[in-house]
Amino acid sequence: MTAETDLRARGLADRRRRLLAAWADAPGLWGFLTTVDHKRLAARYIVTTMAMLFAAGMLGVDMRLQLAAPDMHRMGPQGYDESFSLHGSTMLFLVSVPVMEAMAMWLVPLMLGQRNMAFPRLNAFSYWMYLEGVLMLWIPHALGFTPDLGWFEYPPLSGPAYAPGHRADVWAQMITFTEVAALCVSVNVVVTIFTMRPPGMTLGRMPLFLWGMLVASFMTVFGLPAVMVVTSMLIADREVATHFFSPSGGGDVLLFQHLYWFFGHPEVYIIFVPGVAFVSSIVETFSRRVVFGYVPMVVAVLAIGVLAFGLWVHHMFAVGLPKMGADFYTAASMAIALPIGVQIFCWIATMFRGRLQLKTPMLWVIGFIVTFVIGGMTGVMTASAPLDLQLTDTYFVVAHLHYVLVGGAIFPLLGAFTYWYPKATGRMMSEVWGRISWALVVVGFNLTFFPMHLLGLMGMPRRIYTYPAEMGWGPLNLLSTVSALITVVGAGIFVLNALLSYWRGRLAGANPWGGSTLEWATPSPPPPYNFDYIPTVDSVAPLWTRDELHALEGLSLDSREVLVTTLVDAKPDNRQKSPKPSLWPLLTALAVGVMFVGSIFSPWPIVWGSVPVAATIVGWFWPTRPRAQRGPLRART
Amino acid sequence: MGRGLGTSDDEKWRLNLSRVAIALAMASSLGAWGCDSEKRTVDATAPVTAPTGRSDPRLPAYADNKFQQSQGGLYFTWYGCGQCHSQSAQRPQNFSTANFRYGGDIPFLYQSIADGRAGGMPAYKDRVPAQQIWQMASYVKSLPKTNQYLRRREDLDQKGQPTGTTWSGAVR
Repeated sequence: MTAETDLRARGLADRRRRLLAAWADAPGLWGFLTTVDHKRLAARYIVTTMAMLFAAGMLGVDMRLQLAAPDMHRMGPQGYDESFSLHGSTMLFLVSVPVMEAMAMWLVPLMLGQRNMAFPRLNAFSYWMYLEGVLMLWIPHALGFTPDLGWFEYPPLSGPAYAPGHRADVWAQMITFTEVAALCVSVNVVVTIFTMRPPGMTLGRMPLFLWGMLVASFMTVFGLPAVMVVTSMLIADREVATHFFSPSGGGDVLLFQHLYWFFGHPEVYIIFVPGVAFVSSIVETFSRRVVFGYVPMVVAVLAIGVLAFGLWVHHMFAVGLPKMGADFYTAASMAIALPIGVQIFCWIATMFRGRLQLKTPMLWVIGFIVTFVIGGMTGVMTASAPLDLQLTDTYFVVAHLHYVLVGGAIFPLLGAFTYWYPKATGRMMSEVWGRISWALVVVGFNLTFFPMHLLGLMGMPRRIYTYPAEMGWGPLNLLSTVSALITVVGAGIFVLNALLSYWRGRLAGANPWGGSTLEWATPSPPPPYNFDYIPTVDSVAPLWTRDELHALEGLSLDSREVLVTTLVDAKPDNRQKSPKPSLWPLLTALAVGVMFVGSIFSPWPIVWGSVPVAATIVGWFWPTRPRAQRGPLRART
Repeated sequence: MGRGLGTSDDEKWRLNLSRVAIALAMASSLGAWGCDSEKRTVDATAPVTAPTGRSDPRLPAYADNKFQQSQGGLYFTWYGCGQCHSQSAQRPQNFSTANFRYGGDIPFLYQSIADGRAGGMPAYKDRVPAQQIWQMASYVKSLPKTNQYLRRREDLDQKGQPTGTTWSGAVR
């Protein structure tokens, strides 16, 4: 070893020691409760969503068993209502949206070569709020009162006269918790992507993954307030007798449906667009070339983001709105198939023109394309108002929504999980077992849900707990149930593979798949400070265009500092102090939780509950820096 | 109700199993929180006779249960009780305060509905099944504790329901 390399190695070791001292969490429980490390918080998020996915998945299997044969009475109507309500609410609000937010939280800073996100403590607050949302739905279930009106609870059925007790309130307030959590992450992702890109990563050199997460986060910011408002209005109607949804009192029940679906339809794309982002990353890596048609891909995802807000009424074709208006929403619903088609053709072109490697993540993408195209085509069918009038509330819709949500989001998610697992854990998942679980899940899923299209066309309504034998729905339902069990076996193998690989998997190294984006430039798993040096980039696939990344020097090694760059050109702008670990986000989340839970029983907790909330927020933002000596806010003597 | 809202033993066992597991994991300390008012089991206890008195074992399932009260409220509307006992009625027909002339517990209220009272209250026992009278008694018992604005709000939501012998059609 020459003296120079020896010196360099010692310098790097010293650098890492100092960075670790600045960025590492306290050990033990205190570190667990106070951490603001985006990787730890996101991992926690992902594990919680996976537990919820398992719980809600088991509810789905339970319902399939109930419907396996005609005239089954192992479940009564009340039990069935509770099962599908809990299944749907958990899957939509506690699994799909948060898991996508969590993937963004984990990956965005790594892909930007940054040490943390723009608002680290907001991430911690978001996780605790989300966890409280989980408990808000599942503790009442454990205690025996489960929301039983489906995943969208329309008044007047959910109003004070027809939904006695607190079941509907529990559901409505669970939404408030999870949407606050999702808004926190989304704002964080938007600000991080806009202000913390590495030098050289202009908007035109942003990986498609970041474009997807940016669009999904913007959609969250615009879409989720609508549902928070509408569920809060519902609670107000039920608790303090407001008349938002009481037609006889001057209100309007349709208002609920409009506001709900103004969120509800973009929500589908809030779940799907991150799936698109995963697919772009995976296709690029395993085709060994940059994705075909960067500009059309970006324009397409932006178009999805805009169009998704213009077609919510296709969920309401059957409520009796003017037919003329329905035409516009039919047109918008069909129009959104165009940008999605552009994306699918770009991916296929990438695979066609590249050197395709069929590793497990890529197999999930292929499962996604096939399944999602079927779901998209049934989507175009239901987008047509006259056809929808026949299909609405039948199993056809159940089949369609599972094809687009599972095929469009969960398959890419499982692919993404396999793809980034080595980065997160330092070990590879088993390729053999990965393929087996992929085959079982994709085949099992299609055999479970494809028959539901036919059942729907045969007239089987959704949300029925049993059916008489004369309807002739028995054989297809049995096929569906048996296939659901196959899917469960495949999912079980996936989970076991992930668990066992954590200890026994092959060591991965920094870049096992030969990926092109910055997260592969740091060791697996990444250290608490993410990168030794802040990288700079000069292309959309930086690891493929240079053997060694150029780095930027000048951030402090002994305190938490991050680099802020300009919006369009990503020129270095200033150094920003990044907050240290803190217990205040947890305390604030607890204070907000007490206020939210209390407010379903009485309006007064909103009044006295705001005192602890204010106190914890003051504690959170208590200034720790000395007063400025210059500028308009300088200390005056 | 029939089988409608019942819970079979098998289902109870399964639900209980899942509840026990989750309760142990997440909320053992909250287990004692009173949730009887949220229960929705009807089948096993659907009564066919009048209450036998204040110690009738069927009383707890009806006394403070939100679902039974709500069902009772619907029958209260359908049987036209609101024609005399509306929120704007004069006492003693007004139930907004706990001053019941013949007693405010379910056995007395049941008797009032089933057998009628002097001064114009007809007997309903030949027209209304026992379980529905139980539910209406539970509803009437809850009225003094109900916020007056909330009761009005509930009535407004039920405005399109048939009341007594009249139905004016859907609300437009």
